Order: sequence, then C-alpha cells, then structure tokens
Amino acid sequence: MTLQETLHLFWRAGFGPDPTQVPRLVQMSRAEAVDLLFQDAQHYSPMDRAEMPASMRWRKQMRSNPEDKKAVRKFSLEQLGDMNIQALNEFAFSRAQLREKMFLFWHDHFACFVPFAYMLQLHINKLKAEALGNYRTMLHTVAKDAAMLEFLNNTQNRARKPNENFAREVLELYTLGIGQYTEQDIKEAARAFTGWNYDDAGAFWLVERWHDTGTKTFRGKSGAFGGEDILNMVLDDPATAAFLAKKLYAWFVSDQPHTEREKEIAEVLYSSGYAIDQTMRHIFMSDWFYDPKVMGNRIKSPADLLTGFRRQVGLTFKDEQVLFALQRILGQTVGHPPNVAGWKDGRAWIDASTLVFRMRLGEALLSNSDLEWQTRDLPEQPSYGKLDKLQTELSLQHFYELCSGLSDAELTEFICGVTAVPQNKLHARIRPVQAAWPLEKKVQHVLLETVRSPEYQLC
Amino acid sequence: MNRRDFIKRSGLASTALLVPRFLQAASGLRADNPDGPILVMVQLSGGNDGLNTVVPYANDLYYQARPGLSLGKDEVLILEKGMGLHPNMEGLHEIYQQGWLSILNHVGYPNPNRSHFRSMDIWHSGSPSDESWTSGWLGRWLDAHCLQGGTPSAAIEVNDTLSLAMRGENSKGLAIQNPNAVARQINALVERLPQSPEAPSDNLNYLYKTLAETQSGVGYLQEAYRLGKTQREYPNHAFGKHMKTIAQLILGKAHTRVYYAELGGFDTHIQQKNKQGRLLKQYSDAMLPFMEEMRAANLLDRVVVVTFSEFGRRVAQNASGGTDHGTANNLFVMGGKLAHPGIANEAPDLSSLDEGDLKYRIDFRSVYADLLKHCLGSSAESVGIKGFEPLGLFS
Repeated sequence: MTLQETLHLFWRAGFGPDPTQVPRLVQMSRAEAVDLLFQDAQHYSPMDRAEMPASMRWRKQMRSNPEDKKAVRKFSLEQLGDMNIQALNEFAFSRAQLREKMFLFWHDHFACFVPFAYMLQLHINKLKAEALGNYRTMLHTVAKDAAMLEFLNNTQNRARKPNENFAREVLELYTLGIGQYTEQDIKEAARAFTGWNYDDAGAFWLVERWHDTGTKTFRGKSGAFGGEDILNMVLDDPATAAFLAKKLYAWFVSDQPHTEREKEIAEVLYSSGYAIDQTMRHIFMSDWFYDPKVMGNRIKSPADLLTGFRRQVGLTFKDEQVLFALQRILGQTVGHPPNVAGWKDGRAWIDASTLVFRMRLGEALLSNSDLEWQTRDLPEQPSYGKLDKLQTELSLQHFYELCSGLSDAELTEFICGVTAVPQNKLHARIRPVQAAWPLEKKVQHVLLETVRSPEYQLC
Repeated sequence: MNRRDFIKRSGLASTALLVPRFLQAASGLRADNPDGPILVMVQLSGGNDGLNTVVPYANDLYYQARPGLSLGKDEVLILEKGMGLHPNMEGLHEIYQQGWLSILNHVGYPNPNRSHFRSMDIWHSGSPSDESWTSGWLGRWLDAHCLQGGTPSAAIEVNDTLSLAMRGENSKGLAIQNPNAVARQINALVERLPQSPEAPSDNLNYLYKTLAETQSGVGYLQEAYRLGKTQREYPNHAFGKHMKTIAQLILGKAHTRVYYAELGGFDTHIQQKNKQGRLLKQYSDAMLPFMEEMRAANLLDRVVVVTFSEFGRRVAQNASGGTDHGTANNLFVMGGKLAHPGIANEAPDLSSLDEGDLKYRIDFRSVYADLLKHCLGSSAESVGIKGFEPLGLFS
C-alpha cells in the first residue's frame, strides 16, 4: 500500500497508526493490513471502572432521601468520569484499534446516557463485545439493555398507558429510518414493547402484568407480537440494511453520500445476515475506499483529534481530568452523547471557536504553552474553571530515532506524512527547518508546524 | 504570509476587512441592518428558582410549601399583583419602575422534561419535548436570512463555546469572550499558516474558508469593540464583564443582531438561599447599567433583552434547604417598547400543580414567535417552529 492508503486505512479503522509502525505497515498488502486489524481487534479490554451497586433500582434509591441521592449522584459522577478516561485511554493505547473505533461508531449509533455508572458500563461493554459481531444479535441485546430501556423511557411503557419513545427510536434511528413506517406502526410497536424492563441485577425482565398480549397490526401484518417479533420483522426488511449502510458509509468513508457504494454495502450486510465483520472487511478491501477524493478528506472528530495526537507523540497528562474539559470544549464527551441522535459530525464539529481552539491545542500540548481558556460550568458536571497550561509529558524519542540519518527534506516529508494527510503535501508548504539545528529541534519544529495547520484537522 | 495575503488567497478579497458585505442576506432581508432591532438573550443555567426570584408574597400556599426558604413581604421589593422581587435585585426593580420590564409567568412547554440537558436542548432548538432537534432556533434564523455559512458576526455568544441555540444547519454564530484576545490568537495562527494548498479537498477548503471568515469577523468586532465607549460601571464579575462587552459592541455600532450571554450555577438542590441570592445579585447588578447605557444612547427602542432558564424549580422545598428540578417558570423581557410592562399575566397558580410543579400556560415558542417577528424580521414558521403565534409583547 502507499503511505496515503496505509494512513487512510488505519485512521478509518482506528485512531491513526503508531508512527513507529508505519515503515512496517507500508510494506503490507491491503489484505495483510486488513487481516492485522481484525486479528488485533480480538485483544481488547471491557470497561471496569464502575462498581456494581447494591441495587440497580437507582431511581427508587435516589428518591428515598436527599442525602442518599446526593451520595449516589456523587459516587456515580466520579465513576462516570473514570469510565470516560478509561475509554479515551483505550482509544489511544489499545491494540484493538478496529474494535475501539467500531465501539465509538455504535456508541454514536445507539446514543444513550444514564447518570448511573454501572448501568452505563453494562451497556458499553455489550457494544464493545458485539462491535464486530452481528447486528441482529446486537439490536436484540441493546433493546433489552437496562440503560437503553431507562434512557428511552420504556420502563414506563405499560399496556394501560403505552410510552412510544423506545419504539419510535428503534424504528427511526436503529432500523428502518424515517419514511418507512407510519405513526400507527409506532403505536403498535410500542404495545409490543410494553412491560420490557430490567431487574435489580440489571438483566432484562419482562413484567408480565404490564405487557399487552393483544393483537397488533404492524406494517400490514397482524399477530400477538412481542418486542422480539417487531425487531425481527424490521431486520428482515432490507430497508434496515440500507439505512445502516448509509450510516456506515458516512462514518467510515465520506460525508458525501454515494448511492451505488451504499447499495453495495447494504447488500453485503443483508446477504451475510448482518455480519458486521464481513461488511467492514468488504468496505476496507474495496477499491473505492481508497479513492483519492475520499482519502484524507474527513474532519477529525474530537475523539480522533485527541486520540490521534496522543498516539503520535506518546502524550500523557499529569492530570487526566483535563481530558473532560478538552472534550467538552471540542464538543464530544465519550460516554455522554448529546441526544438520541448521537453526535453531528463532519463540518458540524467546526465553528469559529472550535477551529481556533483545535489549531491552538496541538501547540499547547506540544510546547506547554498557555491556552487561556475559561471553561463554562454545566449543572451536574465537574467544573474546571480556567484552562491554562496543560501539564503533559511527551515522548518524542521514537521520532528522533526514526529521523536520524535523514536529510532535512526527508525528515520533513516523513513527519508531515505520518502525522497528517500525505496527499496534501504539507511538507512542501511549511516553513523549512534550518540545517544548523540539532535533530531534536528539527523534529519539534516540523511537528509544531503540522499540528497547528488546518491540514492536521483532517484524516 | 500576512493577513492581507491570506484574505486574498481565501477568496475573500472582495470583502473589505471592516465592512462585512458577506452579511448581506440571500433572502432580501439584510441581517446586518444597522438600524435594526437587537436581541440579547440571557440564559440562567441550572434551572433558576423563579418563585424566589419573583416572589408571590401574597399567597399562603407559597409559605406552606417553603417553610424554611420563603421570603416575606417585608423583605421583597414590591411589584404588583401580590408579587415582589428577591431583595438582592434592586437593579431589576429600578428597571421595572422605569417601565422597561415585562415579567411573564407560567412559561414552559407541554410534557416537560426535568433533565437539565434535555430541557435546555428543547429551549435551544425550539423542538417539541418528544423530539430531538440538532440545530438551534437562532442558528436556523441565520440559515434563513443570511448568506450560507458566511455570517460570523451576525450572532455573537459572549462565551468560549457556542450554544446549540446559535448553531444552524449551515450557518453558526460566533462564540467570543474578548474580541482582542481572540483576534490576537487567530492572527498568530494565520501568520504562521503553511502556504496555501494547490488543490485542496472540499473539507480542507472549508477549514481555510472558516478561518478566513473568522479572522475577518473577529477583526470587524475588534474595531467595534474599540470604538464602543461605555459610560456606566459594570460589576467586576464574569457576567458583568460579558454584559459590558455586549454594550461596548452595540455602542461601537457592530452590525450584530443577536447577542447571547449566560450566567450559570442556579442548580440549587442544597442551601439555596445564599447561593441563589448571590447569583441574582450578579444578574441584577449587571442588567441595570446595561439598560441605562442603552437609554443614554437612545437605543432602548432597538434593544430587547430576554432572560430565561431551562426550567423552574419544585414549588415545595426539599429537605436540604434547596429545591429540585421543576417545570414552568417566569421569563423576563426588557426594552423600551413593551406592550405590557410590569407583570404581564397572572401570578403563578400554586393551587393546581402537576406532580408538585407549576403548569405552563405560555409556550416559550410563542415568545420566540414574538422575538422573531419584532426583533429579527422573521417568523417562527421560517425557523421551522410551527403553530405558534406571537403573543404581542411589543408595542
């Protein structure tokens, strides 16, 4: 593969390559590199920062008395923070790059938040485990997940007084997409999900006395359907595969829709019985995935930006809590999607202030310069106040070793190439290194020039 | 590369730095109408307890619900209809006495959501409570009335990050705390930009374009900020400084039509009394010099200030000397052309509650309909908010 193709693959199927591995990766064929990503994806760790509480009945517990409520909130808030940092550290340092990236996709797709750490952790671990498995299995699992049932109010969905929220989002966001069903279909589907709840251990629990056992008519078919029947019916409809294919294309390939390629992805997804691994392999092996118009033309999400940077320069934070503030300013807090629809990505990440912040961030992290940023306080969230110097530790030793013996031009091209988008030829446009500088200064100069360029915002 | 070269290369050469002609509207309406009305939105974040802000001191139910948290008739600043302001709000009381304040009670929306995040999203997007919209009502106003994407100073949020309200599908407002600091930051970035790419991808082009427009917009604001001379004393806290910045930009004749400011910390589950009192004082102390400044500059008829919070709080106090998340709340409208100065509608009804919370009678989206019509030369319909007529808040 070319350097550009290699970077492209490892950015879309992960959070960018480890620079020290790039010389090895470019020697591989496309199939070898894709195999490596899938093999490495087996070696992942589930999230484990939240502790199992005495009971999952957190609503009851929080209502019992204000002191308990405060304690539960505080306990959970701290653990949610620990989980967020664990997630970002896994993105940065896990060998299972493809699984971690897929997890972020599913986390965006099944956007869900509950202010209860253990419940959210169960949810996240289900997404991670099935991230490259089967979408049919995943949808059934997630639909019976405590966090999801809680988040979408299905715990209040009862035969006598149905709550449609869960049914609506299943049809609109997880399966068919808008326009494929009627409002009446939502009402009927909601009846099928009545009584879907969870028990004190967080496991699925069908509350029989709340479940509507009557006949439902859903998209032209009638029967005493349960929730599983609704899920199977929508999965059997190729419209679900088409809907998911569009989302996969937009997320992994390009924000410019492409009907033909999306159709191709939908066919693989549907004919394989929703095998996620086969579908992703098909995408990564396709020639169109390496179309020069597609490569390097995606605006990094905040998770991409922070994680890619950490992977490139071996960055660690003395105070990892600073990551919360950075995510909030950049507009993406992992573990806390903004709403049921997930994050708006692509150009939506960029406004005047986030762009200026993004471009200054790399320099602040590399050179410990001052960010002069006042963070805003949000209710029920930790507060940070002023963000000045970010205390970071870098290790640039690997760049010094990789660059020793290179000419100035080669050094510049190498660093720009492995850290930014090679086809943008940034190396020919930055201010050049000076021959008299020691190697360390040359490396640092090129890195600085790169991370504060608009080009660095793309992957 | 210097700033001029950069602007030239970014295709913005035709727009002189200080005259943002790109603000000219596609729809015929000029977003930068220099004599047009100006809307200032002030958000009290965390859920301000409206019942201890505008106190129904004549209502026994208020005292029954809040034995340890109520304010007595002898403490409050008397308004009308059996209501009075929190004693720390002398500034707001003065604004009321001048006839520049309308207080609307019972403002909310159907099926209220008691989560900060959801309720704030509902207020920002203008969506029904069972839908999640991903753009804001003011952002969509930018979409509808300004050139796509190219309006970095038509709507300004005095903050470091941009709220959902200010994000449209194509256009976005500009978040800026201090025009000089941001100008310095962005000029430093632009000075050290790499040479322009030869055949940039569409997204790379977008980034360069955004940067150029930001520099141009910020440069323009910096000039207005320099020209604007405030005459009043503003309190020396963050919110006071933010209101001063807005006043300075308005006096400097910036063509900005929407300003957005925020005061946070109102989530008073515990020990509400001191905390809320301190915040209300900050708010009130900053609003008086701002309104007096506008009067002195003969701008009162053009400037409208609206203050809201994502929800009010439970009528009954909790066991920790605080209040929990509630629903409907009061909302303030300030300006020189109010149709109903004073308390515009009936005092809050504490006898008919929904799970312990006030029931809404005015949908906040009808307030938006008024603001869009009166201040922004638009309509609720054109920003995708359907079925709401203006209330007639302005004369």
